[in-house]
Amino acid sequence: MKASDSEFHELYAASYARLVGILTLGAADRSEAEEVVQEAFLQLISRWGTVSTYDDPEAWVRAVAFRRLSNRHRRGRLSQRVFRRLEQPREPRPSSTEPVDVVRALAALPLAQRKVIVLHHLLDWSVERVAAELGIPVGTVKSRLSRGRAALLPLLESEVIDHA
Amino acid sequence: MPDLKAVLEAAARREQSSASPRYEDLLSRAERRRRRRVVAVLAGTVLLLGASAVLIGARAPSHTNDALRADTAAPACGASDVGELEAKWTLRGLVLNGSMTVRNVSAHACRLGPPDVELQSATHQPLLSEERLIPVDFVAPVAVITIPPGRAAQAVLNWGGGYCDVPTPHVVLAVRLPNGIRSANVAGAVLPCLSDVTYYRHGQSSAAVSGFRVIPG
Repeated sequence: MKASDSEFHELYAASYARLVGILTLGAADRSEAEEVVQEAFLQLISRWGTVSTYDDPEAWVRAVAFRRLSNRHRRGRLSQRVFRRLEQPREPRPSSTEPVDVVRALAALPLAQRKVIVLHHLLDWSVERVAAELGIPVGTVKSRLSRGRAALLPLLESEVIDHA
Repeated sequence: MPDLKAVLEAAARREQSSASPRYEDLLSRAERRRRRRVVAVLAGTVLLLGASAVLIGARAPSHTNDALRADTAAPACGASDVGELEAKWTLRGLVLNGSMTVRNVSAHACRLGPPDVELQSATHQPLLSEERLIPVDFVAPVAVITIPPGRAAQAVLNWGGGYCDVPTPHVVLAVRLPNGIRSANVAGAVLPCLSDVTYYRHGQSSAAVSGFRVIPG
């Protein structure tokens, strides 16, 4: 990786914060998002020779981070942490410019629904691309989107009301 | 009704990490990880070599057909010597049990050691288990054999656990030989993605292959 250290450094500096922002919505947990993004960059170091030739190396890191997030949740390592998280209300945010606590609302959804919502609505991926990335049928993506939206929108509205 | 995209974008911006870990810290963490992996591979290799030596030693006296022992004068079997690779397996419980067979189609005897196997998808991409290549361990017999011309040799093959990565209609078995690769589609079942993790972690699987044995007759 020595020859292209500077390119890797540039990608890291430019993408890290953005990826943590996106993954936080998927994980509904900022510290967990930071962990999976760092793990994805660690994995990138050993594969930089190949991935650096891709059109969008950041997309590779994002995909790996989402996959690691799924694996963590599958193994149930964080189940108790999530449970505690649901039990304990988040600290109020110091910022008053964004009153809606989207992360808390997203935390109420299953990971599978959160992922399709983030990929489709935040990253503007088509339903077909989301299905291909996650290895699930298009119909499943649509149903998860539908259920996720139906569950999420009332929560967002109530958050707005709570903070009003 | 809130605009979902706008709400998500605003939240993602707000959640962006203001202080990323120092780049140098990331590199040193990667180096520590690489060292740990090297140590693990070395330890695994030592264990594997030790186990192989014990197995070979234990099996050596039981050879009954001297003609099938390795003939060090014979050349190693290349891809062009072994003809087509055939493989099959059937699912029994949590394990796919099967075998793979090659035939020496050359006019001379050749030597064949334990096969260097990789499990691949239908598009010849390596199958992953928990984001790592599925390990293929060796089981006895692992000795190098000599295949007389026209004779076939068979190796035992199994794959156990749960497979939860990208779905594939069938598995491709790729065997590296000294001058090329022979591959075969393994028809039939692929391991299921297990929901019961009593014996294996979710998505964890491993495979094993024996050395070849010349088929009598």
